[in-house]
Amino acid sequence: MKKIILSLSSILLSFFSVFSQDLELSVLSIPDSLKENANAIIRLEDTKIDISSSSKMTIHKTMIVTVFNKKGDSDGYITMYYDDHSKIKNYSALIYNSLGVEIKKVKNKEFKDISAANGFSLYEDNRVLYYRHVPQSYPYTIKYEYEINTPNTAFIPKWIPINGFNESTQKSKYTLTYPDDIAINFREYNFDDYCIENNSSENTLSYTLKNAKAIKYENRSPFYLDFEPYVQFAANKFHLAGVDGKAENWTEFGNWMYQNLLKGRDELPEATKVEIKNLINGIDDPIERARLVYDYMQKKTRYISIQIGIGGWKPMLADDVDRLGYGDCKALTNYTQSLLKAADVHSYYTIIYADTKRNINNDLASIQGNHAILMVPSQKDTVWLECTNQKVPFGYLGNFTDDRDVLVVTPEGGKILHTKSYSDTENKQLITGEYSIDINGNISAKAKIESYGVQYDDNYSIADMDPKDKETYYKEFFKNINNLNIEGITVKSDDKTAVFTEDISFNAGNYGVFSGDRMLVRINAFNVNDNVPKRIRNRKLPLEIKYGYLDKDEVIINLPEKFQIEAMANEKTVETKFGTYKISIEKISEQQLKYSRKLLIKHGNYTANDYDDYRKFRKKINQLDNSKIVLVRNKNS
Amino acid sequence: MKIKIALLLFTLLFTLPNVDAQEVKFGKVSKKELEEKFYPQDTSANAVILYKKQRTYFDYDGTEGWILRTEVHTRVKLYNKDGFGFASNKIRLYTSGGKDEVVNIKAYTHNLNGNKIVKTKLERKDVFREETSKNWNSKNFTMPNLKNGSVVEWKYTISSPYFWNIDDVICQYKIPIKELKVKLQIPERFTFKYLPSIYFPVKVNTSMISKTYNFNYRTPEKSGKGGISAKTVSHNGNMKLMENIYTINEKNIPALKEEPYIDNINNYRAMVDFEISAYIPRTGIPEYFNTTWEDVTKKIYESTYFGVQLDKKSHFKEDLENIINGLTSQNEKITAIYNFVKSKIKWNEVNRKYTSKDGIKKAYKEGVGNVAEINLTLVAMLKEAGITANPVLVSTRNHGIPLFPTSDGFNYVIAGIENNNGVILLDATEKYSSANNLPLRALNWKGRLIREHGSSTTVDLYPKSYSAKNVKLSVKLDEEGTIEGLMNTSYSNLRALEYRDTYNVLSEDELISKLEEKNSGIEIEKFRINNKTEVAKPIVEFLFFSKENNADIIGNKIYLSPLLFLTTKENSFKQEERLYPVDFGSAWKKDFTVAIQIPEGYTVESKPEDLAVSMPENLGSFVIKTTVTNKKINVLMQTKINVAKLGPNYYQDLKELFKQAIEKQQEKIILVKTSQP
Repeated sequence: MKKIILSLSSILLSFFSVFSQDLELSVLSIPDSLKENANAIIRLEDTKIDISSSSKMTIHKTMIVTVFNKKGDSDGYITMYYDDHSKIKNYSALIYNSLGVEIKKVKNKEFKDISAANGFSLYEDNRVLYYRHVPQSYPYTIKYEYEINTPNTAFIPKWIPINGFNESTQKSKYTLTYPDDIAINFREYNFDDYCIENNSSENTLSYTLKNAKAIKYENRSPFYLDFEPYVQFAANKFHLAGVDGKAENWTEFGNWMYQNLLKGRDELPEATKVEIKNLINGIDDPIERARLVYDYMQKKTRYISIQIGIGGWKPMLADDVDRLGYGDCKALTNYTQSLLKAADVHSYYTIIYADTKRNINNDLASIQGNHAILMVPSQKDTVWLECTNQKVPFGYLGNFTDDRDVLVVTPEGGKILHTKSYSDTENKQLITGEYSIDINGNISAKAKIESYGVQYDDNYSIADMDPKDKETYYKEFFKNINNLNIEGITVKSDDKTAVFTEDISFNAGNYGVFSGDRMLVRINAFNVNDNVPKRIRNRKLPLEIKYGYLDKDEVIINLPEKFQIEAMANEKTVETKFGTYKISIEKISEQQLKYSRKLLIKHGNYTANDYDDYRKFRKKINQLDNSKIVLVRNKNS
Repeated sequence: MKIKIALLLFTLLFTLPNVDAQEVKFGKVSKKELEEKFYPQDTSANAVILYKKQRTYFDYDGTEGWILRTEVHTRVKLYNKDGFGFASNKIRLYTSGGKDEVVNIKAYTHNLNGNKIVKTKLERKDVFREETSKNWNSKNFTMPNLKNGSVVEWKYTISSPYFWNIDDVICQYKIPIKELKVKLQIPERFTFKYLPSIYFPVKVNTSMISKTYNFNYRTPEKSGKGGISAKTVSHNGNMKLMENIYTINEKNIPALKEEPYIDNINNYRAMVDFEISAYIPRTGIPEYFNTTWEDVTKKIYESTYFGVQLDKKSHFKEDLENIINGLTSQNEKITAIYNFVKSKIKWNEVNRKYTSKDGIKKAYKEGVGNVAEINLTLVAMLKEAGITANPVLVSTRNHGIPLFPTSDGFNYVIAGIENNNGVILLDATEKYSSANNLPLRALNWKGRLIREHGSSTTVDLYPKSYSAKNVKLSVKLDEEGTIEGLMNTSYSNLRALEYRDTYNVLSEDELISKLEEKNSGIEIEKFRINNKTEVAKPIVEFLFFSKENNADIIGNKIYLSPLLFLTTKENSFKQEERLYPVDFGSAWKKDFTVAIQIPEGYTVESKPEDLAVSMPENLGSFVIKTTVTNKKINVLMQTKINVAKLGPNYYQDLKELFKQAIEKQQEKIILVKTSQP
């Protein structure tokens, strides 16, 4: 009897839970304009940050995300980072169907707790607690909440109401409260095109953005934080894993970094100091000294990922790096700085955003960046040293770190400087060579390729490929020629000038294509550019050409005997605001031609409308790169 | 006389290794090893394992029981910086319930400083513990003070309570191994079988010796009053057991290198698999483990999380009645149930042959499940509907091809329906999979179908029908080289599955853009996709498009490729040699039918000759045929590979087929202007 009652009550329970419907969460209430280009929509993002003291911050987040399709699933993923100093509390998640009916409550054990390391990391104290929902159908809505308690007020989360692409935002609200004895510095970026409510009052900063449409991703567009709104915050008194700080400006901030994170971490063993002294013996020029020290460091160390120390911000002791011969970017930068100190050369620890070109926001003194390099002042050009790369030439910065604002930390405080930027013509590639076509259409060729500037960066690692990979690489490089048979590969990286030189010789059957007595030969054998951007209808985002470059080719062509030229292209020049393309063919003799090609691409920011013209330009280049000459067999042979 | 010399040489060769068969001592590295600049057997190697020694043995602990210990000693030569990655170590430890542990990590880096050998020790504090996830931990370290030419070495011992599980003995890595010595000592209480990899057979020597196992255990002290006190007494015990010894002594094992078009490189790795087949506990009653695939299958079937699940029906009974209500034919019922399960339970991307402990019922209720939960539900529902469906065990591509009959050999399960024409295979985890058209992950090796009474049979999983692409192009060419027209492309079987999987998630805008990109920048005016989700039919793409620059216009002649922008320009098979089979996942073919209307005032001056070539044993073929009728050029082209997998011995034939096919496609049709239009 009892049994029956029990099961009845459980039926009742489930009956009720089935009908716990929240109309607000139903997809019917989403305006159509927010569905356009959206894989998911943030129905609500409510971030409440309470700083109760310089070393106590509570982050409370409520998120409601409706996902429309498979590509939007990741927008509904819950990812919570924490470490030894912070704690995640009160996390929960509920899933609703399209009508707003609750269909699942995520259990605590369904959240997975893993190390945040990916790839080989010797140690990583950051951890991730995450949940990824597997939907039965679309659309669905996920609502989640969590709270993180942390003493690290040095990292106040930014407000980024539109996060990336193809995700619209119905409402995003951010509230930061702080006590009287703390001042919050903040900067608002890209607010112009958005209607953002500011409800800030005394001791509270508050922003709300409603009904922001999804932005469609379009290739060759600027970095998303260059046009999407966000606010960055910094407390004038803060805390970072055991260390208090105070800073109103970069001078003070740099000073704090120097005093608390760097100072005193540069002790080296006597033996190493002596070694350095001997190494630079007799050399007075500080840059020449730095060159020798850099080479010493490159030979002695290697990069290993280690996320340890205060929030990953304090470098390992120089002494430890000396003993172990490895370290992460902070450790190797600090170590190189210590070595330079032993050589009586000044240098400064520098914080930078590596990879995607991005500036340290210079109008807000705060913890920023994701990488460290070293700056050596010089009367001529400032020298920047990348200490995690054991192959790159002294003072060379490639597209990982070039042309951006960085924070240079000196004992006198922090300074914002700009790293080396290459002009379009400095990013140069020169091809000189010669090829011969025989009477059967076979080609045999020799080419010398020299790369400079960021084009050096694209190529120098070829030197370390094993012979098989090198062969594969060149077959891919000359992919427009089939059945390529490589005869010789010599590559050389000049570490002094950062010039990479490749000497390649090869042959291939049937390069010239026969049609009866005629043979068609693509005149440009070495450098066919097939980089044609795809067509985009109604482009919205500006076009950005991140790097400009200059390619110059000069090739001698030996034609087969018993053939004569029937037709060949004239000189062609294409001039646009994106750059210049020019080819010409000069007849040296009946049997010999000289082909010249020049392509200059100018970096820069262009409008969305310019995209179509840029595409046209690229198409034209591709077409002209495929120009052919027609040879015809002599009648009497 | 000749024979004698040959014999002598033979014995010399075989006795030679013994001459320098000195035991490599940990911590003692020779100057010669440090001075070596490159590895003579493979000069491209950035690093080489000079020596690897492994000893695996059993210990008996009075309280813990059997413990499996593995001692490892590895010595690696680093020729240059690109080899330094091989000086890092991540020792993975399983820690669910009983805990694997690693002890006695000792490691040194050896360098040559002038004439002196300098050793740097790996400090204890430079070894880190990482809690990777719930059941896995690892100990991580990387060697200090590396220089070009360094020799690093480490040793450690792993103790594991999972004594029935001896890890595969890996005998080949990304870098060459100069010398490998492995010894496994297994007490007779345990019977392990072993099997070396097929592609690279490793020789295993066996012998037997007698060994005494000592152990300590404690028992409670008996108090005078006959009760039991809190104190315990220590005892020493020993047992004499015969031990099976397995040894592997290999030299100069080459590096294992990835190749394109490969199913899973691990299938070709040199290794030896050890599997337990019997265990005699102290009771003396032996416990037998799997010995044949029949046993394995039977055992899997008997699991609570497998066969037992097939009897759980109450939760879907009502739904099932609704689904098949009114359906009469078997096929209709199969299709209805298959589609129902696909939409009812979504795959959580977990490959497992067993259900989780909550079983198929919970997955059904929640709408989410692993492979077993989904496909066992499918089998159970089909059976309940009176169809003779059974589970088919599969090992996925990533899981590789098992050497041994063990239950670990399978990690996936699908449904199979036996009928007069063979077996119909169904996988409900994949939205766009259809009958006998399984997702690529399941196309590996052979499946094993298990019937209700436990009997089982192998099943061929590879698709019987071609993975096919069929293009019909009909265009009008103008004097400028611009074309305009229609392209209809249909994709069938595996190709269709892949197409739907990749493109169905795209919005219309994105799809147009993708198709334009894929087809050398055509500009699409109109398009339509048929059978987007009707998986039993081919998916068909209709495009109305235009494209500039399709021909070289030189003088009064137009030179154009018969296949226009569909011309294959590059041979995917660029490698000179091939070590491992080329894997396509399915037999495949591509058909092209092209009709080009030429501009007014032009006539065809010449056209490429037709070509038909084929590979030996009818493995593949290529045909192209161009015909001209009045103002129209018609081209028919077909490329066909009749097998899913090709042995490396056919690689040159394959390469040659593609070479000829591609060269032929580069040849031009010449149009010449004959009159003003």
